[in-house]
Amino acid sequence: MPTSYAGRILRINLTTSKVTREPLAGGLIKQCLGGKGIGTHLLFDELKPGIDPLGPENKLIFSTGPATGTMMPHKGYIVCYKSPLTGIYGSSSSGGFFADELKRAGYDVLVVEGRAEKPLYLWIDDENVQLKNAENLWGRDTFETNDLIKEELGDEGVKVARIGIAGEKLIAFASITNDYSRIAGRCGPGAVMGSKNLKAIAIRGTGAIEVADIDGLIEFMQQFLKTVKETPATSTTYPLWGTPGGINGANLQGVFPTRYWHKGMLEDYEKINGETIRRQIVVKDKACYTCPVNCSKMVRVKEGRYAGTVLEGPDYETLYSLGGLAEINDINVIVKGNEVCDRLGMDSMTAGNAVALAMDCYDKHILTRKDTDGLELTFSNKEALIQMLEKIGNRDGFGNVLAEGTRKAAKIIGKGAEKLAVHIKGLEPAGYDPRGMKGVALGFAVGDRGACHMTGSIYTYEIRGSIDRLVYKGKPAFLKELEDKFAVCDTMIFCRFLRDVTPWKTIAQVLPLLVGFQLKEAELRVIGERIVSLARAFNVREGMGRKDDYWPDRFYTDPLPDGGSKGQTIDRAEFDKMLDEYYELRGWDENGIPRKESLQRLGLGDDLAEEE
Amino acid sequence: MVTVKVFGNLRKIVGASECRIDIGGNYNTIGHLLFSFARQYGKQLKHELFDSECEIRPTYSVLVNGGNITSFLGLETKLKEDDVVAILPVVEGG
Amino acid sequence: MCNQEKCTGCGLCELACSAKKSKSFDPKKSRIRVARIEPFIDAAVACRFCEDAPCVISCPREALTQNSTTGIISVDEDKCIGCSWCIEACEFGAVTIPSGRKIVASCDLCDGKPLCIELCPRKALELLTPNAISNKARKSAVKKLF
Repeated sequence: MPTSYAGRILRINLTTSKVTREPLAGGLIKQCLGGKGIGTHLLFDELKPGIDPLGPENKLIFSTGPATGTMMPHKGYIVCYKSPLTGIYGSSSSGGFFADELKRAGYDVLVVEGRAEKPLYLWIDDENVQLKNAENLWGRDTFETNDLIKEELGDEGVKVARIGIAGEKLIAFASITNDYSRIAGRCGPGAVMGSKNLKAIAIRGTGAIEVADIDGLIEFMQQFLKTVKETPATSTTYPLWGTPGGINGANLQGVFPTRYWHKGMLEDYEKINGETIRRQIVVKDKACYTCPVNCSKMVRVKEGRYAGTVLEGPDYETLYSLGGLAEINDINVIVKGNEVCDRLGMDSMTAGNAVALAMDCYDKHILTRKDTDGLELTFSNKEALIQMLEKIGNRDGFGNVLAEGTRKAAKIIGKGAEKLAVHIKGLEPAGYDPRGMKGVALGFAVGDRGACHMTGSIYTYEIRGSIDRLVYKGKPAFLKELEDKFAVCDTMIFCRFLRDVTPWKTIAQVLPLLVGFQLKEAELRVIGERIVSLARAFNVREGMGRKDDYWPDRFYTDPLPDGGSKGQTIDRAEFDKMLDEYYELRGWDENGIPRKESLQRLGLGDDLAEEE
Repeated sequence: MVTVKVFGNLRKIVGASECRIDIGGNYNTIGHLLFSFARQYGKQLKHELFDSECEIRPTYSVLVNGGNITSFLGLETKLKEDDVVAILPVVEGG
Repeated sequence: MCNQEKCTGCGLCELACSAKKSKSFDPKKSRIRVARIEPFIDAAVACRFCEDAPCVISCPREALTQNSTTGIISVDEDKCIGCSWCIEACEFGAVTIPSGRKIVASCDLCDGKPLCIELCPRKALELLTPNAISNKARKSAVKKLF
């Protein structure tokens, strides 16, 4: 029976230059379907604990899913690796065409291991796989690299995933860019690539993708697209405003992180909201490959110092990290800052947090102009923000300190900086203040990458008001339900913004059309639980436990000073109760470590339990 | 008087980003406010904001002083002088 | 006709056509193709059903014929040798060789209900007569003035 799986893993060892093709085991497929599922499994099985994330033993596991390559709206690839920023589980997703090209070349999964001696790029041309010299590409930015490789290979249809200078210089939060400007952003996959001397991966795949029931899929699509059009988020709000549409709600409810997490609302936030962006700088709407939501916007700055800057963005998270945290409400400056990050190839969320930490230290005289290469790193200093971002991406001067990410930078700066630094397990949070969103307080605390908003995405329902954001009760169970579901969405791979139209029953409905076998909702749930507990097991193996599932102290002691969540903190006792309840629901012990029986129930095997 | 801030399409219909509305006596719930608001700005606003059962469309959130009315008493939530009401399209960033 | 202001480059039209015509997913098998010119331009292009279609005229084997009422181009697969003169002749890039066979193809409107138009999530694709196109353009230009 035809299936949308290619059925193969492509493995490249950069140390030996060996290329191997392995079958994608049916057992693995049934256990975890694809995407984040396969990536997490392989990462756990193939990596020993305690390795250096920037050493040759780390791996980059790029996975596609059953929907990749088909007309079922899907979102790119997920790459799993050990994070150089956090030292724990790392996974990043990116939309666009790259993933589809990989599958059309005949592979569901690409594993990159080892380390090349000289800068190389990988060229996958269907069956023909080569490692090519990248010395003339080293030092080029993400846009130039894309163009140069396509030119060298003589085919502008080639899809290229590449790193910029930030990846080459091993900035701990360097990203991987594919297509025009789709980005596997957080946790530093670009640095892993850079540490392997791998500048880029270019793919040309000429195969066609089949599915089990193509007529059934067309029929499904007709109904699915109708549902998309009838659902507010996917028919109106995301297509019109994109993620910047969230600016109003977050600020009005006082949870928009401002002035390095000291406040919950940015003055004149309307200058950076969806309406302003649309009116002032949007040129057109853009969609990832196969997506009917087109949340992305192509923008161009029309006036001022940065006139002419072109960007795919800016997204909510960058508006918070470069705008809110630095107290800058000039959209043109934020766009420029975003473009700097994109060109250099680094995560704007971590970069913004790092600069804002430095601004907070400067404000409290922990840092002076002597430390910051003469830059006046005050809040709201637009020029300083842009210059600092450039310095970080190039490891220039003080940028070299911030390039390590918030946790390490705070340690290096010392003098109390560590008390100010905001991160969980080394990852800076997404743009929602937990004091005004108790579900977020839990979700970011237990997220598999650190303070990540993607694992459970509970922020969605709290900011909408579907659940009461100020209440603790019921959050653990709700979070678990979301995490399980989104873990399965991450196997297919479905974009988070299709969350309202991909309930369990829809996933169960479309799966057999793609791959020819069925899974009941209950079985899908187990797959979700399995992935979450496996990622947790990976982190436990790296030394994580309950002590790492907490926010910095000030979120429990310092109330938000004003706005829609004025006076709110995270109540420590309530938080501990939520942790207890969440661990229990997951079958983990009071230290947050998966119990042997739970792992066995999930089919994760005895050897796993013993490793802990 | 309460301040009503509007966002998205509502701004086009209302012709402003915020306005002040009188609340008085027994007509001091969110429901009363919104119906009077709809009456003031006509059919287009009514249709934009309410469905055929006179419930707020799921595309919109209504906040009072930063708190969603779904955490209070919905349309029965009582208002007081100088409260700030916001009506905005439901989007959650990402 | 593809409205370039609405087109987001999502490519669902290509996959729809490929699914319908070849029972598999491969944009190169599609008769409608998206032209993506970064950073700002996306538009899908298919056969324009030109009068005295240049592709038909250019074929040395007379493998292409055009229906005089609908304008739809048909390819005689026995006669076509994949020489690509018709591809060169078409100014729009609407004639292609779908991957797999060395025979050309172009849009045949799917027996009257084009799947690409049905599935386009932005309603950027429309099937219009030339009069309807100019009518739309006229109205749009006038609206912009007033």
